[in-house]
Amino acid sequence: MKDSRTQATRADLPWYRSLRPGDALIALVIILTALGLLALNSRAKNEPSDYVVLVSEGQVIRRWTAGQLGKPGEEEVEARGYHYLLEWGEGRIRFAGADCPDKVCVRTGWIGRGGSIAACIPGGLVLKAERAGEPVGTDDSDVVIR
Amino acid sequence: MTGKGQKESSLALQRRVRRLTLDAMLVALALVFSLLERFIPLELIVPVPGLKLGLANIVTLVALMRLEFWDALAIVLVRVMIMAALTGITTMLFSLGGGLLALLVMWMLKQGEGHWLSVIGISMAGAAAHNIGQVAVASWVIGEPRLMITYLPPLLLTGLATGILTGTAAGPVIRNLGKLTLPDRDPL
Repeated sequence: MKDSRTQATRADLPWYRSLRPGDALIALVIILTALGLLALNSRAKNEPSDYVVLVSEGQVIRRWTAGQLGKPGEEEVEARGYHYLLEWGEGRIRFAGADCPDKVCVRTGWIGRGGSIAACIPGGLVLKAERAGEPVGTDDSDVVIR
Repeated sequence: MTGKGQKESSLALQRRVRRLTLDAMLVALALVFSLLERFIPLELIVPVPGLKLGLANIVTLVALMRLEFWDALAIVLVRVMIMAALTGITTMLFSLGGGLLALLVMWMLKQGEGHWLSVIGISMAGAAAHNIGQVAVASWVIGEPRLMITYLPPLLLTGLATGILTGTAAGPVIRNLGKLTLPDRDPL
């Protein structure tokens, strides 16, 4: 009885009155994590890129150099039964249209700088900007795919 | 069998039927929410790729707070499997990753509810965990860890708002369900 009386009282409170200090702590942890990841992302995006690749099922199926991306163009791609329209120009590229279920790739928008990436998981496609000869890790390996 | 034994067995059966019915109703409700939010063009208002309201999390939260962990787990699993018929296997994997991580995090935080934490805090953590689980599975499926830093930050920030929304919606349901339908001492 005591418990249900307590609950009845709490049920009458407006939502913000039921907030506890731990809620602010959780919000703070989430905000700090998001800001940390954003900082990592913006650092990666500030890197210049030499080309953009389109990867399907782990294989590079198309590559655009910075020069090619400078001239406007578009191309249709099919992957796992879904259809995509890729559009490029002014040194950047995007999924301009897709008939995949979630369209996350289209909503990602333009990519062009190093480290930026747009992915369509249902179609298994990744469009990503990369630097030629970018060192892998801290060792001396220098992998260039051309 | 003695009269007392029969009565106990009948009570146990009643409880099992009641539990099964309630779980099935919650699965149905979660499915309605999942379908409904597909028609809400939230991304047109807030342009964050992959953003969703997470309405089905209201059901998970209610099940977790008012029933048992296993009920909530069954509800998440059945919802995700039925939704796979509409969304496909790949999307099912994300939903599963997100749904299970959200459930686990909310279950761990459940003990703090009413003391140092409210349902809204649990819901915010659940929304964040859902996004983390979903993007982690996506990164793993496609083999691109960079997806975590590209897609996750805006989802975490908008998840705060959707977490508050779902927590605010779930709060009164949790309190009133406890008061009206399921007595506090009844573990179902």
